[in-house]
Amino acid sequence: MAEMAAPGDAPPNAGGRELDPGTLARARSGDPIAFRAFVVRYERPVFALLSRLLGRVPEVEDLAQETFLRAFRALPGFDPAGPARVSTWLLTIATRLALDAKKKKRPEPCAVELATEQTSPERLARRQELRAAFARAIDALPDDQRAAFVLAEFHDFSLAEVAEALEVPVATLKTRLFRAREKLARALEEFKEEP
Amino acid sequence: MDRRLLEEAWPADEPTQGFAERVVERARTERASRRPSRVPRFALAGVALAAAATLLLWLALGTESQGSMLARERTEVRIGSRASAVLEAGASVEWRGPEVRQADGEIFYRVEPGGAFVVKTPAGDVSVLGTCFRVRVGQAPPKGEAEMKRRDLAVAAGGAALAAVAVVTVYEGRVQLSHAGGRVTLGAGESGKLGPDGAKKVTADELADAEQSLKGASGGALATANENLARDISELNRRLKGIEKEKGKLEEQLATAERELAKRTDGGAARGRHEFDMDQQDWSELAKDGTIKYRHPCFKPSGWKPSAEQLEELGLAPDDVEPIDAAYKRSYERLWKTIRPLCAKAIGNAEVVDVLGPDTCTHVVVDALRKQENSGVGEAMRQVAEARAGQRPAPAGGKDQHPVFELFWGLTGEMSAFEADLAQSFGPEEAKRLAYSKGLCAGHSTFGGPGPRQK
Repeated sequence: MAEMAAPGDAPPNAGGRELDPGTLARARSGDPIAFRAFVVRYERPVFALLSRLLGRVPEVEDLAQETFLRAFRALPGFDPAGPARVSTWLLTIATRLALDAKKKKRPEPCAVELATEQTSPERLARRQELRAAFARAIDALPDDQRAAFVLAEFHDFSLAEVAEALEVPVATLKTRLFRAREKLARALEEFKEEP
Repeated sequence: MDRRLLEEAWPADEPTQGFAERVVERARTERASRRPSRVPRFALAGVALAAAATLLLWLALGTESQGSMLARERTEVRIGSRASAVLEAGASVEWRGPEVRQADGEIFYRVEPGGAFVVKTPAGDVSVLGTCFRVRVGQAPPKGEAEMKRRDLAVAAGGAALAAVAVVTVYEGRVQLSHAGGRVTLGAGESGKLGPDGAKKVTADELADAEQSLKGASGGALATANENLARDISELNRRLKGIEKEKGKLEEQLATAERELAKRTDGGAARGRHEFDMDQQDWSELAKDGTIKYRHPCFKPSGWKPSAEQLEELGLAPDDVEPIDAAYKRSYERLWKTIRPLCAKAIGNAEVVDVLGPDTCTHVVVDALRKQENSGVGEAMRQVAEARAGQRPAPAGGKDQHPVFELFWGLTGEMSAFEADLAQSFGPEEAKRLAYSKGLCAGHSTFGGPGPRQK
């Protein structure tokens, strides 16, 4: 529901903002144009979530499709007036699919890719080093902590929503998040000190 | 944690080109194969032709009461007055009245209640007794060779030593399997097999083995299938051209409809001001169902400074950074002063509140209160919208109100406060331009309302 853009406004399909109720109602009744709008609205957060949970691998597209197909089947039963936001509901489906996929197939070393940029060689080297440290910290997180962290930090899930998505009590979730943040904090803090 | 730093340090995949179209197409196809549960339906599936799906063809000859079809991709066809079938790629079927012949391929049937309806397969007959079931038809090694490996099966297929097999799973009602060697009736939840050794019920394990055998043997029939397909290529090409023309027309219609939809969904640009720069009339609309929407400066406890590039885009001078930075700091202080105590009360842990920050806290407060008293939350949202619309008096200081009212009153009023801050340095017009420009850091949210007020 909330969307943060820095700087300026994100495009309409950039993530957090929910689909308007009218289009959602049409999608729920099976209108293909409205369903397409639904996919376009949420495809970016779904891809972002899956690629952060699975690594940047070809399976991301497959699971993204499966996420939307499951949503398509279940949309008529989704209650827009209920407590769950559409994005939360959809990303919960994606999270469970990703965690199931990871259980079935232990992944190769996770591909957390580093951003590249144009800057001075020294500064670039420094940043790459720090980001590599962050990437290693991410890779070292257990799947459950990683999922909790991604949902809370990137997708604006509340604690209760993350707990529900991961099917754990809120207290357990808090512990997971605390541990994930603790492990990642060092790498990020160091990065944050960059001029 | 700082979202921007996180995003920068941990980039994610973007959706692939044409992703939405692929998903919608899959959903459309899936929908075509589903119907209301009271309609008896079943599927005949044979894997012998599955590989033929690599050819892009479909063919339908004949009428509803008599005809044949060979499918390149999933295709639905009407069979007689009571049935329709969805053919998977490479499947073929012939029908004459209620009698259907399916040599192989994978087909899903939907049959209206009525008289006899029989699907004849090389392995035996499948009679509909008013039910819902699935059948896989194909070829498998004769008895005793089921353990052959895939390499051996390829040889067997070439040597024509395969036997026709149909595997049936019943979901509702009953199905009768008939074979020269006898017949067996299956009830809901049961599976059966038709093969050289007659008709019999099978266990779940035997079912899995049989289906695996069908898959393994599928390659052998491919050559035959391709011969059949090749015969029809010229006819199909002609039909494909017609379809492509039709597709072009439909795509054009779709694009027009999507543009309309986008206008309705994201509209705002057309009215000459920002979608989130709302006046009383906008709020009157939102007040009808209690929806709350707002824009807010990014939550930056230590302020936010535009880069040199952003300054240039905004047409500002380096001296302008300071008042902008200060406005962000004050905005954060104002909002956090409102949100933090509400969040702390909702969570009961001040430390966690500081980790969550204003954005997450906003959702936490609303979600927590919704669980306690959903109707009160809805009413508070309506009241905020109505007050912003001028339909009820604005609260004095926003105090002694429902927590959700307090929360949203603060958030929906923040842009005005931010603008007022900026106006001290830039003047009101420039402040408005800056506040809603793309060059400044901002977020926005929409909370669906409880619906129209009951009269």
